[in-house]
Amino acid sequence: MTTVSSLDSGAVAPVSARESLFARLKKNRLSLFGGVLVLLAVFMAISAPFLPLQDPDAVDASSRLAPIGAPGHLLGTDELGRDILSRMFWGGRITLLVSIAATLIAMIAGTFLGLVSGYFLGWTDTVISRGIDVLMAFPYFLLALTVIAILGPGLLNGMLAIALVNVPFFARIIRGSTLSLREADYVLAAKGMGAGHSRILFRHILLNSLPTLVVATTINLGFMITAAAALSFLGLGVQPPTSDWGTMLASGRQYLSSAPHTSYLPGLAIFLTVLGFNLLGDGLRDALDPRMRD
Amino acid sequence: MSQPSQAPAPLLQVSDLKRYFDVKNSLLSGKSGHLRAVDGVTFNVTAGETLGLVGESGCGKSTLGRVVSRLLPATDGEILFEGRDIIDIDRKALLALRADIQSVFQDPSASLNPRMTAFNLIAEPLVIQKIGTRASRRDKVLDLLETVGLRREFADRYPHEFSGGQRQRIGIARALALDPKLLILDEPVSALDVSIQAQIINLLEDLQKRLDLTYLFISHDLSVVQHVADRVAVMYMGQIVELADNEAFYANPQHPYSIALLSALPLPDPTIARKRILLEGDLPDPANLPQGCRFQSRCAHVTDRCRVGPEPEMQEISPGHIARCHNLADIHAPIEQKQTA
Repeated sequence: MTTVSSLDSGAVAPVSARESLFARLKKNRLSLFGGVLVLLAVFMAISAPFLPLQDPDAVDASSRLAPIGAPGHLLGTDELGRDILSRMFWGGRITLLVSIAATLIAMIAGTFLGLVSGYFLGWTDTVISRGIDVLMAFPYFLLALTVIAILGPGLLNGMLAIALVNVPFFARIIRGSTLSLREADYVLAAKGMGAGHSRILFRHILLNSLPTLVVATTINLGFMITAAAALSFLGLGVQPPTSDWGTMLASGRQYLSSAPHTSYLPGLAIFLTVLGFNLLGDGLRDALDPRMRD
Repeated sequence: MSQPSQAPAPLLQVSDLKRYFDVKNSLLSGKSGHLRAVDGVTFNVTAGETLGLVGESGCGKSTLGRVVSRLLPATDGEILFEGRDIIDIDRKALLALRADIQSVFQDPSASLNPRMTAFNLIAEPLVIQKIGTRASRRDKVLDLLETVGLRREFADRYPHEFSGGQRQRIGIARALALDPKLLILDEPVSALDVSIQAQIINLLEDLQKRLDLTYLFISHDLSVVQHVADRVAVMYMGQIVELADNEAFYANPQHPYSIALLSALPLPDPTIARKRILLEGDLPDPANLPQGCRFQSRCAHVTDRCRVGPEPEMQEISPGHIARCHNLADIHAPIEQKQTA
């Protein structure tokens, strides 16, 4: 016989999963809209230092609570006469930074725990899974408040608190995907070549969990923005004079009747950004990993 | 395939190998037992030969393959590879053994990591075993692609860009990367179209000649095994019930189970009619085997002796042809009858 057989070696299926991901995402109008909202928020966060914005912390007692469209202040001013437009950009920078950093921390910690517990099973899994159960038994916000009560309020501690609260989210998703992937034939094949645990965990199981992880991360970013804003709203996150959308919302709340724009502008920003991440996450989930639909 | 001219020492010696799985019978009673997937299996594989291992699904043939390739631990018994025990070995020796015994799996789309290119898939065993430099690995992988009949340009493609047959070729190339001595072929063609099956079988036969490979060929397809195997072992419920040379087995099967299996094999000559033996009766519960012979519930030749213990022992019918049955002398095998009408 000949080793090269024409029948089998000629035709190659012309499918490319990468092309079709964007195509599938594009078909979903809602998630495209979500993507635009997310891009807008990211643009605000990145561009703040480069745009000709006023100093977000410059107090001007002569023009307190100026309405939208007031001369010199496109979106008006807050109770101390600070320019709201500028504060929206700079505040969004803090809110996004805290949420993204917290999501990354939660993702890395949760993924690691999920991989280890789903792969090794036995007592490792028991210890990790029960620990995750304990974290989940606390009401979401109470846990974050407890962490802040221990560490003290502040930008970094707030970030750690909401990261910790979200570790179970990632740990459980990745544990589930690890449980199914560890039985895959290619994992068995890797063992048969002599692959060690870390190679199997990271090159085989984690690599094949990536779609799940991307979707989970996007959806989680939405939660994180709400959580970060809520902590700041309570004065437990970022401390004055720095402010984010949450603190702006909190200070504007006292002037809800006289100057509603001081609170509904940051509120709208939070709402639209979270909506954007959720719509984008849903679209990514449908395109990448339909199994996660619940 | 090549016949051993002299009598070399067996490459693989398996004796009384057992692999039990724990099963919980009932949630309420809390009783538990063992599922005897492999229950006292003994056979040798000589260097250069192909041993075909056949049996219906659930008979333990894949489990046997995995225990032999050290992918599953053995419960009891002995496996010698090149005369050395491979069950109680340290990590370093196991890693070296992995290079000598490689597996090809049934479903190539499941056994190839979908996120790795053909190149990385085939290079992975070399990377794991720390063999060669980056450049020498590259040469080796590209050579392997050609060895299995794929073009070098395919190296950067992902598994989903290949057809089923091409994927199995990648699986074979990966198994060959470490220059193994023994290949465990676990239903290597069962997931493929019939037309592709022939190509893969030809490739495997060609490779065996060129690279002096020894095959343990696991399959449920008796015609495929007839084509590739030098010797055939039939498994039923975790035990080998018949072991014989290819010609002897297909011409003169001895065990009633083998006879029934072969009677279901389509014959290439439509003028030949043959009596098909339909197996009736249920498979015994593998976690709760009956006393006596395991085949008693489905056997046409069952006698009282089969229903009361002890289990039948292996008997030699002719040199190299053994079967596990009490009534071998009474069973006549009417395999082929020329149509007279």
